[in-house]
Parts: sequence; C-alpha cells; structure tokens
Amino acid sequence: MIIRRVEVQNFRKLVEPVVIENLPDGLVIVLGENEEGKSTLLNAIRSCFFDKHNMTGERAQGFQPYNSALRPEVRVEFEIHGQRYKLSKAFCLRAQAELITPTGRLAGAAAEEELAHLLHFTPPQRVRREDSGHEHEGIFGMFWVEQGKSFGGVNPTPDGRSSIQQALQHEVGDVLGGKRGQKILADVAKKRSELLTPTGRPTGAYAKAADRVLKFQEELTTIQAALRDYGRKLEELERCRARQRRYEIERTLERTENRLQEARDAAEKVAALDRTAKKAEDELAKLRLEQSLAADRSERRTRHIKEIEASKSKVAQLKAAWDTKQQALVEAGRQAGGSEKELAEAARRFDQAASTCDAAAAAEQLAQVQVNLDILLRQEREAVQAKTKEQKALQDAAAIGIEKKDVIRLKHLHDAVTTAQAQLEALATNVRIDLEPGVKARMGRSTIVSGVQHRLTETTVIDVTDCAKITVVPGGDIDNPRTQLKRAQDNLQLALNDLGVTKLSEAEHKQEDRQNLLNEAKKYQELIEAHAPDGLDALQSSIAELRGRIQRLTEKAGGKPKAPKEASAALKEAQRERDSAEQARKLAEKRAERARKEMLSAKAEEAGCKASCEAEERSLHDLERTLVEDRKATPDSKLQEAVVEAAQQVTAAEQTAQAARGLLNNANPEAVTLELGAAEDTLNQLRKDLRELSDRVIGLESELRATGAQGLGERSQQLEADLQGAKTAAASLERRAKAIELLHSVLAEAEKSAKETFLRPVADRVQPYLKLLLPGTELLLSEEMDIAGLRRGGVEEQFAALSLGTREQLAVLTRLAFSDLLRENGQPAAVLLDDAIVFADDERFKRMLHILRKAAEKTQIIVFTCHERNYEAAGAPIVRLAECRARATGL
Amino acid sequence: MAVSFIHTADWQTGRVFGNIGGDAGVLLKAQRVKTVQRIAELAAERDVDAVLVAGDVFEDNLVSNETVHALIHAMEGFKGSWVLIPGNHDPAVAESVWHRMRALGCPANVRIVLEPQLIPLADGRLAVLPAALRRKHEIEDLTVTWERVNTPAAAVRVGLAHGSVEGLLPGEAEATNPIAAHCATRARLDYLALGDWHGTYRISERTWYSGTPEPDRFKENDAGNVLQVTIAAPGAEPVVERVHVGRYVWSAIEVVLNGADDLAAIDAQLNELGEPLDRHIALLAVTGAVDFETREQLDRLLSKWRGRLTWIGDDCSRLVAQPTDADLDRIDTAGFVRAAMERLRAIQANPADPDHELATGALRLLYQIHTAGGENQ
Repeated sequence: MIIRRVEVQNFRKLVEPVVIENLPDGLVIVLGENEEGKSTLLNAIRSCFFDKHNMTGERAQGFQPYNSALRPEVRVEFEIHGQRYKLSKAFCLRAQAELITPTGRLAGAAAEEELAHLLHFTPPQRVRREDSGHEHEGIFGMFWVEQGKSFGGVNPTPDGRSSIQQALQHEVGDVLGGKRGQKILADVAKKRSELLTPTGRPTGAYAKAADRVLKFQEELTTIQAALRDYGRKLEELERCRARQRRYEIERTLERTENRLQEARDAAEKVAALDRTAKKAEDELAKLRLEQSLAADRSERRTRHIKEIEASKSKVAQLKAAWDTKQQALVEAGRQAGGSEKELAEAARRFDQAASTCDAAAAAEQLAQVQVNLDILLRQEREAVQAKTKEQKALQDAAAIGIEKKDVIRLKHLHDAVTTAQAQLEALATNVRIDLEPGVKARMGRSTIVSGVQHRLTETTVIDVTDCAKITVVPGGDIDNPRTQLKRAQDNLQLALNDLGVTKLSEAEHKQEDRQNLLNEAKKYQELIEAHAPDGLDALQSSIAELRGRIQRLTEKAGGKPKAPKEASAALKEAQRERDSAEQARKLAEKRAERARKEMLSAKAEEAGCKASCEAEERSLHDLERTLVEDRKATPDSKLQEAVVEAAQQVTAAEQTAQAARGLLNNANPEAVTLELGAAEDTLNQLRKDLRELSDRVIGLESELRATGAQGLGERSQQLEADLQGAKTAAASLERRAKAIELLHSVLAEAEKSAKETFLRPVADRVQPYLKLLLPGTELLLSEEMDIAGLRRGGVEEQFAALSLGTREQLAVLTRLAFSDLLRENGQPAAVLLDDAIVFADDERFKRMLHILRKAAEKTQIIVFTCHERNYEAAGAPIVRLAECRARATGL
Repeated sequence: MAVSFIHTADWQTGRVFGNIGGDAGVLLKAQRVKTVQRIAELAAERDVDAVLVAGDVFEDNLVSNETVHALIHAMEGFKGSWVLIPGNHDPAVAESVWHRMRALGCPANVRIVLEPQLIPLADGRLAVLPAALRRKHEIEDLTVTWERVNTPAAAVRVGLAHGSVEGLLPGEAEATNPIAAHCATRARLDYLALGDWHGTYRISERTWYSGTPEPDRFKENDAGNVLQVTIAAPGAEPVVERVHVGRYVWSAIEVVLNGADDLAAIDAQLNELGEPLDRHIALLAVTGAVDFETREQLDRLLSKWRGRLTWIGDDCSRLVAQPTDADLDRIDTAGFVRAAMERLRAIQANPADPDHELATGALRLLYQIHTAGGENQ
C-alpha cells in the first residue's frame, strides 16, 4: 500500500482542513510543531480505514473537535498493486463511507466490507463505541505506530500475526503443526506428568507401582523368613522325635539305671573291704605308738644316765678353764700397767717437741718481719729526701713570679704597640732629598743620605747645610694614631715594670725558668708517691707496727732475730721432731688401748667361766637327784621288758593289715568308683536330655501348630502372586514411562527445531537492518512473532532488560522486516511512524535513518515528527503540516 | 456284593492363582472348596461305599485354619467314609496340616491316614492299603510293603497312593515319589487309586489317576473329573466311570492377527467357548503383524471379552504392531509432530539406537493419545 493523499477536516484538533498531497514512494517526513496535530492526523487516517462510519457513542464523539458538533471528515487516496483507491468517511453527523475502486464505487457498509477484504483485516463485529486498541486492524495495527508506544515491542495483532504466519508458511511450509500439534504436545506432556516428574523421577501410578513392588517384596521376605523358621523348627522337631524314639526303642533309660545299680553294688563291696583294711591299719598304728612309747621311756633312762656322766666331765673341764682364765687376767693387768707408762712418756716428749716447734715458728716470722722493716725504712729515707728537693724547687719557682698568663698579656700589649706603629707609619710623609754633590744636610741629628726616602710622622727640621732649613710637618689625621701609639707604648712599659723586666723576651725567659722548676718539683712528688704510695705518714705508721711485732716475736722466740734462712731451717727441724714425737705418742695410745681391752676381755672370760662352772654343777646335782627318784619308780630292767613285748605285738598286727589291704586291692576300688561316677552322670545326663527333649518337642509342636494356623503358605503364595503382578505392572509402567519420555523429548525437540525453521525468514530479513544498527548481534523472536530479546556475543539478553532506546529501535526494524516479508508475499503495507525514534543518541539516530532509507527502497514509510533538524539528513521529502493547512484553507 | 467308591485326588485346597489376577483368582481359590462340596453331593447321590482321596488334599501344610475348616464343612455332605492320605503338597511331617485338621474337629467318618495301616471299610468288603507320604519327596516306593499285607479274602483290595508311576506318565511329569508300574499286580490289588497327575489318566485297567476335580491350568489333560469305581468282587475287573465335577474351563487359544479381518475370526473363536461364559478362563496368544489401528481394535475386542469371561489374559509378545503411513497420517501430515514421528520411525528402524525398542511404544502412545484426544477435535 502506498498512501498518496490525505485530507482531514473537523477531526479533533484539526478543525481547519488539512490536505497532504502527492505523497511519494519511499521515505516521507511529515513535519509539524508540537500540538499541531500530527498524532491526530495519524488517528484520522486510522479511523478512516478501520472504524465504522456509523459508529456512535463516546468514541465517535471523541472525533469531533472539542465542545463542538461538527462533522469529522477524512479522505484518503492510496494505491495497492498499482491500483488507485479513494476512501472517504464522515462520522457523527450524516455519517457516510465511500470507496472508489478501479472497478467502481461502493458506499456504506459495502465500502467497509470491501475495504476489510482489500486490506486483510477483520472489522469489528459490533460498531465500536470506544477505543479498544488496534486488534482488528490487521497488519496495519503493527505498522502504524503511535507516539510513545514503539519501545513496547511489536505486539502483533491477531490478524497481523496470522498474516505473518501465512507469509512464513508460504516460505517454509507448515512446520509448526498449528493447534493440533500444540494439543498433541500438551497431551503428551500431560501423560508424561502422570508418570514422571519434571526431572524424570517416577510419580503417580508409576511411583506407586514401584512402591507396591517394594512393599510386597518386604512382606514376602518377612513371610519367607517365617517359613524358613518354620522349616527349621519342623526339622528340629523331627530330629527330637527321632531321638525320643531311639531312646525308647533302645530302652536307653532302663539300661542306664541297671548299670548304675550294678556300679553301686560293687562300690558297696569295696567299701566293706576298705573298712576292714582301715580297722587293721588303725590297730597297727595304735600298737606302733605303744611300742614307740616303751622305746622312748627306755631311751630316756639311758640318756639320763649319759647326761650325768657328761655333766660330770664338763664340770671338770670348766674348772680347769676357769683357772686358766684367772691367770690370763693377772697377765693382762700387768701388760696394761706397762702400756700406760709408755703412753705418759710419749705424751711428755710430744709436748716438748711442740713447744720447741712453736718457738722456731716465731723466730722464722721474726726474721721475715725484720726484712720487711728494713725495706720500709729504706723507702722512708728516699721519700724524705725527695720531699726536701721538691720543696726547694717550689720555693725557687715562687721566687720568679712570672707566669704564662703574664707573658701572654705582655705579648698582647707588644702587638698593640706594633699595630699602632704601623698605622702611624702609614700616614707618614715620605721625604726624599737628593743632594747635589757636595751638599750635606741633616735631619735632626742624623745626616741625610742623598736619594734615601724618609717617612716622617712628626714635625721634622731638615737642615741643608748652609743652604736652608726645611721644616716638614706631616699633614692629615696623624695625631690620633700617634696618640694611640703612645698609649700602647705606655701600657707596655707599665706592664714590664710590674713584672720587673725591661722587655718581652726577658719576661719570656723568666717564665720558662719558672716552668722548669715546677716540672722538677712534680718529678719529686712522683718519686715520693713511688716510695710511699699511701703517703709518708702511712709508711711511718707501718714501720711502727712492724717494730711492735718484732718485739712480741722476739719474746716468743726467746732470742734475737736470726737470718731468715737460718730461722726457716730451724723451724723445719723442730716440726720434724714434733711430728716424730706425735707418732710415738699415737702408737703408745694404741698399745695402751689394746692392753685395756685385753684386760677387760680377760675379766669377762674369767667371770663367764666361773658362772658356767657353777651352773653345770647345779645341773649335775639335779640330774643325779631325778635319776634316783626315777629308778625308785621303775627300775631299768622293767623298761627293757616292756620294749620287747611291744615289738612282738606290732609284728602280729602288721601281718593282719597286709592281708586286708590285699583283699581291697584285688577288688580294684578306683575302677569301681569311676564306673559308679560314670553311671550316675550318664543317668543324670540322660534324664536331663529326656526332660529337655520332651520340653522342646512340646514347645516346637506348640509353635508349629500356631504358625501353621496362620496360613503362611497361602499368604506366601498370595504375596508371590501379588509381587509378580506388581512387578509386571511396574515393568509395564516403566516401559510406558520410557516411551512417553522418548516421545515427549522427540516432540519437544521437533517443535523447537520447527520454530527455529519457522522464524528463520523473519530473522533473515531483520539481520541486514540489525547489522546496520548493532553489528554482531542477533534478534531473538518469540513464537508469538514478537521480540524476545537480543543475542550479543553469545549471551542472550531479554527484551525487557534492554534500554528504552534499543527496544524502540529494535521494534522499528522488526516491523520493517515484517513489512518486507508481507510485501514479498503480496501484502504490501505502508509503515507510519509517529515520532517512533525518540530515545536514540545521535549515532544511533543516524544509523536508524540509514535503515529507514534502506527499507524505504521497497516500502512507503511516513514519519510524523516535530524534530525537523533530526530528519534533515535523511535526504527525504519533507511535508510541512502548516503549509498543508494553509494550502487547504486557501483551497 | 459289589463295592463302589469315588476315587479323587489333588484338591489342593488353599491354592492361590498367582497368574490369574483380580477377582478371578479369588473365585478360583474358593471354587476348589465348592468342588469338594460337589464331590460330597455326588457321593451321597450315588451312595458309594467310600470316597478315597489320593493325596494333595491341601495346597500346602501351611494353609490357614479357615481353609481347613472350610474343607471339613465341604465334606459334610457325604456321611460315608472318607479316606484321606497326604501327598507331596501336604506330607505328613511332624506337625502337618493333618495334625491341625484332627485338632480342629475332623468328623469320625473322615479317616486321615498318616501311617501304613490297613483300613477296612464297607463292613469288610473293602480293604484299603494307604501309602502316606511323610515327606515331600520320598526316595523309596512306599507301596512295596503292601505285598506283605494280607487282607480278608472277601474284601476288595484297593491301594491308595500319591506319586509318579515310573515310565508310564507323559514326559513332563515329575519323577519324584516313585510308584512301580506293576504295583497293582505286585500287591495283588483290585484297584490302585493314584494322585499327583492333574488330568484323568488310565495307567492300566486297575491303575488310574483321577486327576484334580477342579482344573487349575491351561492344559489339555482332561482335568475336572472324579472316578466312580465299581468292583463286583475281589479279582473282578473294576468299572471306572469318569464324572465331571469341575466348574471352570481353562482354554489356551492361539490366534493369528494380520489385519482387521482377523479380528472377527478371533471374536468368533472366543464365542465358541460356549455358554455359560462366566465359567471360562482363557489365555489368548496372539501372533502376527498389524498396524496401529488394528492393534487398538484388538485391545477393544479384548476389553469386551474381559467383561464376559471370568478371566481372559493375552500374550501379545509375538504380535508386532507397526505404524503405517495411514496411521501416522491420522495423527498429522505435517508440522513438527509429523517430524517427530519420522524421527521415531528412524530410531525404530535403527537397531543400534538404544531407544529403538522404545520407539514403537512411543509411536503407539502418540497414536493412542491422538486417538483419545483427536476424536473430539
């Protein structure tokens, strides 16, 4: 479609007629100021095409200018496939519609029906009374974009979407499958959800079937365990009964009881033999005891007699020993006396030697002290002499009296004189007198030499002999220096006088002499300190102390001091003698001690011998007395007879006991006892076994009966059947679930692939525009033919997340792509944009203009805008609304 | 005076039918007791001298007391002598179901024989030699002792045992609890009443298996009978009458399905089972190759017959259901669904693909989902 002419009058704010004529192909810019009626113009065109002329109500009234009852009129001329059409509509008052086609004129509803057919839109079923959007406007609802709505995406109208889908199907065929395919996919997904969760885990009947298998398996396991237990108990019962039967058949209990009785009889016989043997043994033991007693009595008598004899012998021995000990005691006393005397002598000698040694030690010390005293006395002498010399030097130095500071002061005064002299001479008047040969002259008392220069500082008279007297008075400021020189000379002289010298060098010599004397005195002082480090008084005090010691040691040594060597030799000799005496004394002490111990020992032995002798004598007396008494009671012969008789009785008893033991051994009592024990244990064990066996049989019968009554066999069979059924059902459901999963995944994959194929033509047409706007990106379209987002650098960005500007621009170029697609499929549609690019920056705007120009090569694009400057660069015809109005009014 | 008795065996009361699910399994279990009731009625009607039961009276030694009570009650219809011996299912172990049966109040006319002994019946005209199994599998032939047992000359001498006659049973019979083929001759028997083989089977003119009175498996072995045996006098040849007492008919049906036309044949074959239909237990084994539509029709046919018969099972493991182009076109001819179907077909055709077996199921599911939802579109 190409719009060629638009005429509007009494439509909202466009009260005055507005006529836009000769609209060309391609891009056209319709320019108008704000509030000049650009959007109203678009709405008027839209109403002319899509609103019923005879509609009433608020919407229709809304077409009329504000507060007026004028008749809104709109006329549009357009071309489709090169054919010209004229459409005119008037609303509210004398509403009318007219369509002039190449084949004729249609009016009213017929005109509108033909228009709907021509433009592929579905007219509203009812007369539209209010604004209900552009859903009925077919593809134009998509391509005629109102101000401020372009960034919201394409929002295809149902007819628009249908048109695009038809165009796409025309290009790629029916790959989507339509509602039928969607329903099948939905049904399959529903079937899948009945058996599988979204993550593919069993659910619903499938999960329940698996649970049932587990439940039956668990129950069957329990029942089978009970059956195994039943089987084990049954076998045990069989074994128990078999044993019971064997005991019964073999008469095991009766035989065991008989065996025990036989064992008991044998044991009783053995017990009787044992008692007989034990009685004979007891008798034998008793007789042996009596025999032993008789022997003992006889032996005691013999021993008594022997003891008396031995005691007598012992008394004699003890008495002899006692004599010996008494003699030894006397000898020991004598030895002890001798030793004590020797000890006293040795002690005396030691004391003497010790005394001599002490005197020798004192003499040795005295000799040493004397040596020390001599040294101190010599030091004292040296120190006293040095002291005297020191004092002499100090006195001489004091007599000179010129110190170093005095010489320094003189030097300063002398320097002042020299300085003043120099200053004076600097101001002196130079006079040189050149005398003619033979002429003589005098200056004061000095003769003047010709040609010699003189510096005159005071008024001087030059007497040229016989010729003239010339008085020279130095000029300038020479008095002051002269005065200073005089003062300096006076000061120097005064100082020289104070020191008693005539000049500086003399003072310097005297100061040097004084210093030499002081140095000498210092050396003497050092000599004194060398001889008496602690001072002379301390030295003298030490001398006095040594003298005191010498006096005391002289008294102790008992003589005059000796030479040190002699004294030392004497001391060593005295010490040796003292040590010798001490050894002798210690030896004597040991001997005396030993003698004392021997004497004490001899005393003790003698006393012991005496006591032993007396005790033995008393014992002998007692023995003899008791023997007499015993013999009186039983003579020795009687005792012997009793011994013989007891021996005979023992012999007879031994024979009896031996016979009894023989009988007992022959009966093998151990074997009898073992057999009895074994028989008793066997019987007890058997009875216990029978009792337990009986109890176990009763218990097992009871348990088995109770278990049998539960019908475990039927239950087990039923559970096996149930389990098998559940397994079959679960396997069937598993196969079904897997098949559904496969079906669902294949369907979903096919649908995805189909969508991609389906939308490819649109993507192919968008891409050239997108390349101009956003190179390197890819537009993502949804199944609803709207923009889903943008893929940039492999990352998908949702449409809503893009900036307003980008959204707006993408929406425009997607419309352009749709327009291209539809045009190529025989449904050309003009694109009308009411300020649809407002959020673009300069660069983007520039690119968008390129895109519009590119698209306008095949499609008419009318842009309504108030931004004249922005579109100047578009190179497109510009239609100014104001001019159109003026022209129309003029018409 | 002739002796007449009913020979039966293998009641296996308390048996659970694991392969028959749902209510049918419960009915089959309960029917085994009802059939015993029918035997009691038959015995009373025909006024026989005794009912001899050759083992496997119970399915297991561990059937419930309720089951034992139910059986005792079922036998009350015949006041004459019942002789029951244990079989390999209910051997006379230490504490067996027999001990419980005695303890639970077994009537005096019901003789439970757990030991070798001579049972005189019918006022001495009938001497029964029972061989009771004391364990599940006896190694020795328990009937060997019978030849040493003397019976009154006037008494008809009948052996009652449970086991396998050596060498004379069909191949699949178990070879446990052996019984000599010439047992009847060796033991000088007029008749040997045997149990263990579930179909009625004649070993010789004097040796018979009665079979189970109520069929319990899909096997053409003439089950569901008891034998009424009449012997005129000792040494006379027994007259054996087969009397059908079973309620349910078990049928294994094999059919071929290669197209929708075969469905009618299957329907007709099932119709041939005959009335009353609620006495039938059927297992339909289907082989062949069909499209999805025919496969769905088979399911609908089976559904119809499930409502008519007591139980019908199907084994379609050898029936190949492959989608045809027409099947797939019914679902969709274009669009991604069609693309998905082609993908599944490719998977199905590629044995190396791990999902290739699932692909058929997936396609069939798609077909079913489409059919269920598409009909409403």
